[in-house]
Amino acid sequence: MDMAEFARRAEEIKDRLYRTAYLYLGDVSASDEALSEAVYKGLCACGRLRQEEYFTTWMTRILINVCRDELKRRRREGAVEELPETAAESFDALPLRQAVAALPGELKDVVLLRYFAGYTLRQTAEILGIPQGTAATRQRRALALLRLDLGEEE
Amino acid sequence: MERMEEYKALLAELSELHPGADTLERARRRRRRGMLLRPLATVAAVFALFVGLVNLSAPVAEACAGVPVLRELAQAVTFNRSLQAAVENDYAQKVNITKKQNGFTVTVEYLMVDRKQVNVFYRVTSKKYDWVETQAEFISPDGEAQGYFVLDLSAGGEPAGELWSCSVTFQEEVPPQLGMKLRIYDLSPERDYYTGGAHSPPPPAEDMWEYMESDERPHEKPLLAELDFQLEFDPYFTAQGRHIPTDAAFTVDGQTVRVSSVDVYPSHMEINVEGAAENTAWLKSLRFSLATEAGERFAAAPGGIVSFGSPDTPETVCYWAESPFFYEAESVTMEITEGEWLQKDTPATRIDLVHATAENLPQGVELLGAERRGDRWVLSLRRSHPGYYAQTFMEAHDSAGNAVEIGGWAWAAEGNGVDIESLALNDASLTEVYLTPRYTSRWTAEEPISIRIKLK
Repeated sequence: MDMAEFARRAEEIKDRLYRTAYLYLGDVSASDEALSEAVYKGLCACGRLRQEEYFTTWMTRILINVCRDELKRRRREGAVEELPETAAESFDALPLRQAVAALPGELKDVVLLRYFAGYTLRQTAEILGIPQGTAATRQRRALALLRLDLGEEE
Repeated sequence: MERMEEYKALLAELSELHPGADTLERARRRRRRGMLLRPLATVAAVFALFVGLVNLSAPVAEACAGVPVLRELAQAVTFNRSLQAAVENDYAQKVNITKKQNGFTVTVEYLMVDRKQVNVFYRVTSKKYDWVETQAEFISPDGEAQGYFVLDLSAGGEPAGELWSCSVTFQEEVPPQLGMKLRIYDLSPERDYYTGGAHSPPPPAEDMWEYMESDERPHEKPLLAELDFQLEFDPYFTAQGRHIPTDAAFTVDGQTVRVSSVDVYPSHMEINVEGAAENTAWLKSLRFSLATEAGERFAAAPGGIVSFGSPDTPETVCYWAESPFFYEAESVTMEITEGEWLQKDTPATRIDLVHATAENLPQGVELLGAERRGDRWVLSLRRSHPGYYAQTFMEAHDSAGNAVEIGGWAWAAEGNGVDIESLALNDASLTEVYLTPRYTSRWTAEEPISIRIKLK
């Protein structure tokens, strides 16, 4: 993919990427930085993207990795708290946004992509590099913890 | 609040979120800056080589001769069919920026720009000097070097008063503005030393080392002036170029190579290739030409750039050619005549420096001798295939695997074309050395291999 095509496609999905970053990081400034970093990384690597139909999946994966790096950094600073799956009552006590943020990472990935960023189950699995069945299982567990009845079908 | 209400409220909040307007642009600007850090590494990994530049084309010169404004510009680009066609199609940005210093007046008269390359046409005048050399450096507003391949055709000296040109090529896109620092050097000491004059052919390889090492040789050219220009490009020009996916392939010696895409710019064309995963050798070079269905022909290696390698593998993945951008061609046919392979996992070439013997030399290369000169060894090689000023060996190491610095290369022509190559190893204490070959074997097609590349 050349840079002009990259710019066009990135423009199309930038809002969606930005919202995904916001869901991970929780503030607009960090989300803006994460999006900019992800686009930069995408620009550097777009020449190696052979199958352009995977552009959205590919860019989202880059963005999530950027967000994870930022969360790791915050975790080192003690700024991120995740709850174990066994702490169901603790999730109940939190507002939804904080409850999502407190989900174990692998569950949070699925629920953010699937129900907040608007990806299908298949796309979610592709972005995360996991089998669709695994994504479905994680989705079910996450929804149960959040006590959300959103339907689990594709 | 119920969970579903919270969910809907959160979705509504998200729908109002939009990134800053300049988020993508910031990434692009950073990409451009980041690019600047890569040139050395990239150049080290590839073999972009100079070839003979002069290829006068009388018909184009005649076509432009009737248009006074274009006449000189056409003369200045006779070495490159792409730029000739650009001139014919009025593809030039007239600028006329003049700077003066130390008795020199320099005017940048035209720019020829596309998405990947900037060609600057300028004139240097002086009452005192009639023969000088210029060196152009391209820089960003904060002073960082720009671009990864600068070609200055005034190297070796040009008569003052004529229209000269230089170019800078970008790995990604040409920025909207670019600074150009033009240094003017006095060539007369070097010209006087080398009695043949500045336009003489280079000395033979053996003499070259003597010449390079001579204390009498002027090692520095006196700097006469240094002028700064700020170039701004019309966005129409910097947007020119198109990427065309293609799918053609050829097989030679059991190795399959696919032409995956081409990038067609006004200044040049890039042909992107990739070897099949099951190949046992990397493709290192190709000799080819291009022809349209109407019979217009385009040469490889315009403006001195031959090809570029992959940053990840030893494979050469991008070949440059003159561009059919201004021609109404549905397709071009690539006619390949020769190539070079590098066997994967090939052993290094071992040179016994004391006895001047070699093991695992590339095909068609003969070791003529190894001579200890001062604090280094100088190796001489003969190639059975005259051609470019190409390095046969890119890296050297000793028997313990420690890198040995290669102090330089020199080439000479015994027959038709460059066939003698000499390289210096900056360690006279060595008794043997291991050299990494650029290629291991060569092939010549009995009939040119033709590949049709669709452009539309």
